[in-house]
Amino acid sequence: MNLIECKELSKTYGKTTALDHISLSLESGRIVGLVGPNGSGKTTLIKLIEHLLVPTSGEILVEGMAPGKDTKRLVSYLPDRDFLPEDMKLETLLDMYVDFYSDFNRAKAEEMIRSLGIQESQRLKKMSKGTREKVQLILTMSRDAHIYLLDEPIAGVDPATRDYILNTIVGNYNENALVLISTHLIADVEKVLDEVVFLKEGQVYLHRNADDLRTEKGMSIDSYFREVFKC
Amino acid sequence: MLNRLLKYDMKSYSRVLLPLYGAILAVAAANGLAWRVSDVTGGSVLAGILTTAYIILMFAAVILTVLTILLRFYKNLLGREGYLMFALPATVGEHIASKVISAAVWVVIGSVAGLLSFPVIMLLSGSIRTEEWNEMMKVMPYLSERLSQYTAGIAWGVIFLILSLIALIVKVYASIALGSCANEYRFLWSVGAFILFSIIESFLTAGLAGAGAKINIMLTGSTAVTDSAGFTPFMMGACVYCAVLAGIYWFVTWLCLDRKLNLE
Amino acid sequence: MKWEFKNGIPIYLQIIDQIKRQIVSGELAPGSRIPAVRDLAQEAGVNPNTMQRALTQLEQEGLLYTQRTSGRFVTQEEEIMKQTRIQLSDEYIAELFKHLQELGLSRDDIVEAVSAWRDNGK
Repeated sequence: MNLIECKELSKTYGKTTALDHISLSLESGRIVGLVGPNGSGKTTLIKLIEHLLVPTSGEILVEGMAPGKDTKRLVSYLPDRDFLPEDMKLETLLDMYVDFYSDFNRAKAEEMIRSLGIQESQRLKKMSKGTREKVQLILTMSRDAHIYLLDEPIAGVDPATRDYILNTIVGNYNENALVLISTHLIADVEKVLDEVVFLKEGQVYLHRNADDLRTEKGMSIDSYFREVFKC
Repeated sequence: MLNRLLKYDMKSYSRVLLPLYGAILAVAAANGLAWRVSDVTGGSVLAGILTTAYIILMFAAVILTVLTILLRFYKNLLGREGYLMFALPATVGEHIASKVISAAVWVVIGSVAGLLSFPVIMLLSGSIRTEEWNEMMKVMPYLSERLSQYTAGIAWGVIFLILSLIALIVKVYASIALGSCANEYRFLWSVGAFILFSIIESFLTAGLAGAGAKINIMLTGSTAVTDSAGFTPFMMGACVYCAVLAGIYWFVTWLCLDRKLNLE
Repeated sequence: MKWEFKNGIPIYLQIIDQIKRQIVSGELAPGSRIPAVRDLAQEAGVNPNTMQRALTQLEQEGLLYTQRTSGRFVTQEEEIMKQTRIQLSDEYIAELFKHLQELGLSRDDIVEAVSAWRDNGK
């Protein structure tokens, strides 16, 4: 079942073309890597799925619907920046997630928070950057969503936290859901990917099964990436 | 969804404004009592200080209310929290509605608190004794009879006040939203947008008031707006005008947040 | 279980290889139960579908078998384990020959070197 479908999707900002008539279909039960150098259109595509941007032309469908209020119910989005309200306590933020997302599993989130030794009563601004990143990930992955959009989940994060994040993603795997990970750090992520999409200059360069690509090119996806995107 | 958004917006305002408005009433009460005491003791230093405090608090309340309204909108929707808010399963319209309604409600609460503080001072300070107050109250029935012919107009007048408050709030939000579409100097662009809106509004108001007066004269044969016949339609017209303005500003805000969202 | 992955070779093939080695060496005891796909995938840090693909192939080759309600188990059949041991040994020997031939040794040289290595009791 196609959870995300792009048909001749384009997004331009003035003279800059971020996405150039891309067509892409992503199915459930997969962990897909969206890879490309900075500026290749990864974040633009993710924001289009999340309705933080609207297309210049073409179409994007999330479970057959145009992105909006109803699709946001089904999509769990982790942006590439800190979005936590500073003055809130963690438990208030959990209340908020319970209030707004019917698929939020508070018990699961609390268990993960506890296992990391984080206090729910703490104010978010008092937590270290690494802790806040883990909290954001926990909130995102504790939703029983159809689509998980993770924008650069491991960038700027220490190796132990990176392992924790990838481990959480794999452990959360659900054959009815699609996980889309946008990243330029392929080496760390490629083992958990089912499929990989290369975005080059706003276009889909390839969309293959990860192991098939490794077999075909005889190298890791990271090595092949370096070949394709050599400066 | 709108109810849930409202819940969090109202709570956020209450954290700052409830203590503030409460303080105004408290200081007003203390002020009134201090004056009563000073009547007895003859020393009015304390009363004077409290009066000054009261006046400062009133100014602070106005400024803080305005600031809180501005900041709540910007921080919550256009700052880093914007990523959290716009990921929620709510339409942009619902977000705007929640902000407008909560801001309007708190302005009304603040106004009521401010208005209440006067009688509080008056009564507690004893400058109006109970007998005088009762005398004043006796006039009420006569007053209401005289005003009864204006009831409809007054009702529309109240609606007009609320609508013009809403139009002002949405105008502010539209300015902030427009400013956010820029990449740099967002604040300056917002201020510029607000000024531009105000200029256009003043032209419109002048033009419409002139036209409205002419229409009024044609319809009612009266040149006096305060005439009971002319007042009600005048108020109704003013309400429609505010509603249209609010609608236009709402649309501008919606456009910026839905189509051209530019989160930092 | 310590999982290590190299570049260039499909992950599922590497998983198959590693599990075979663990079975043959006895690290995964005959008849023992192996964890669920998701847990195994988490442990190895790989995609669950990839792990599933590997386990399915191992089942086809007879190294694992599924009991519908109880889970997946390591085979107890001696013959299969013997065959797998031979297969893995052949692979390592082939690699040895490949490397040493790259260094210029002939096939006879290689056999001699191996015997010498054994005799020196290293």
